[in-house]
Amino acid sequence: MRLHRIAVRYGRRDPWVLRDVSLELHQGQLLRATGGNGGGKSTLLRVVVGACEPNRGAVHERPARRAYVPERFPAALPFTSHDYLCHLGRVHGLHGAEPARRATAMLERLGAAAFAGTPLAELSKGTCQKVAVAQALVGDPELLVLDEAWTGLDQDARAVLDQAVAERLEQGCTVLFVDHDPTRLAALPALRWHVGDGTVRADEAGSGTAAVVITLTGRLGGAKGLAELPGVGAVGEPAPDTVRVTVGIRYSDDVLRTLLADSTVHVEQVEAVR
Amino acid sequence: MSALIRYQLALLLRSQRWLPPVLFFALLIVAGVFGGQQYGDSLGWCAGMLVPGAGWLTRTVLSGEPAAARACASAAAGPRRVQGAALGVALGVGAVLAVVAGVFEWTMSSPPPGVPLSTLPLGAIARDGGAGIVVGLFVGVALGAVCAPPVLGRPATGVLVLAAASIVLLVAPWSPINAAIRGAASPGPTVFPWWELAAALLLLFLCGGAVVRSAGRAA
Repeated sequence: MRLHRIAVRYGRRDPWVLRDVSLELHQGQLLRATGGNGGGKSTLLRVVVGACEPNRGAVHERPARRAYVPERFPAALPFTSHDYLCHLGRVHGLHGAEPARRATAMLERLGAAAFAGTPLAELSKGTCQKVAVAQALVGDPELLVLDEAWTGLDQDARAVLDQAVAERLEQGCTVLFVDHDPTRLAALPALRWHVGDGTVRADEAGSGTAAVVITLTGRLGGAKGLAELPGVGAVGEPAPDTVRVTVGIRYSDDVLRTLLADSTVHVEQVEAVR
Repeated sequence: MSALIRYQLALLLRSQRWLPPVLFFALLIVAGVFGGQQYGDSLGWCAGMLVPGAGWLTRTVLSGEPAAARACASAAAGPRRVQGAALGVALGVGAVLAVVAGVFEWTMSSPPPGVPLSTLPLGAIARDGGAGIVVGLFVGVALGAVCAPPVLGRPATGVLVLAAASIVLLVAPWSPINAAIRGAASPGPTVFPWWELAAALLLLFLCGGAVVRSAGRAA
């Protein structure tokens, strides 16, 4: 699948969000889009999956079965979880009793079986996100695009989604995703797309080691303020006075420098995550 | 395509968003009866009121799906097919409204004063008036389609343009719906609205085509 000289803008007088972007995607490839907020990541994802038509350029050889998980899934739909998944299953090309069967199985797998008959409007944000993930997986997509799909999911559902992505990749599905956690799917070899200033730069380097985990003690205020540093994904306090920070590989030196500038901080361990 | 139509229809019917335009249309139809309508005349009224009625309904169908849900369906089936299905649902539900309103108007009509019912060419009146109703439906759906996102994104702009354009189309002598109403309500023998029907169909094709083509455009 190829993107040929794509350009997108949201209004005649608005600046181009994407300019003259040409990219290639291969079957069974995992792609991670990175870049700052408002840099065009979400727009690029929607163009790739076909939900958004570019103003210029064309997308060639897009697979027939495609699925998309949006950043925020709306609760303002007049269906129950199960009904919505059945409708989308049919839109994905399933017939007969298959959509209902798969909808039930998918909700069960994501730990939302108890909410099958609940109207979407009454679901919590996290459960709603599970429905959004389920609608993308019911149709066995050949192209799966995930826009921060993990955000709002509980730990178990995140693990299920990780596993589902790995399964889809094995089946030859192309997966493109954005996530703020740099360790997300870090175990899988991925091509990185840096999105910013209207351009996309593909970067194979750094696809092995995606992030480092820094364990430190003695910091006044614990983990406070660390999540705001550039490149920082997950921040946790596994024990009192112990802070664990996950940092994208490109930012690890800067974060370490910042941490060590504080004389009370003691860095216990720096570990690469693959 | 049938899965998409089923989805869009369920989205409309279960959301109760159909209620305001349908009530508005019903009110207009009932209000017409108080004028003491005659055969032909009444069908012309029905045809005319379908312009704002079916227009609002179409706008409702096309703007009813939240953007993220539309993106999910568009990713699976392509934005143009999703938009086409929504337009088809609007046309179908509009046609049901047109039939119900037409039958209602017919049963509430009376012959002109002093003319016995047996001398009226009821078949011709029904045929020509019915064609006029189809003109009203096509014009209404075409208008509603261009007054909805992505062509007119802002709700206020869409509704105002829909209202203003409905009035213009109803009163302007060059408009197909105006000609169809005049034809249906003419005191003499009615004429089949050939050119009006053709013009309304062309309008529907042009507006519908433009709306389907613009689906998924960044806006």
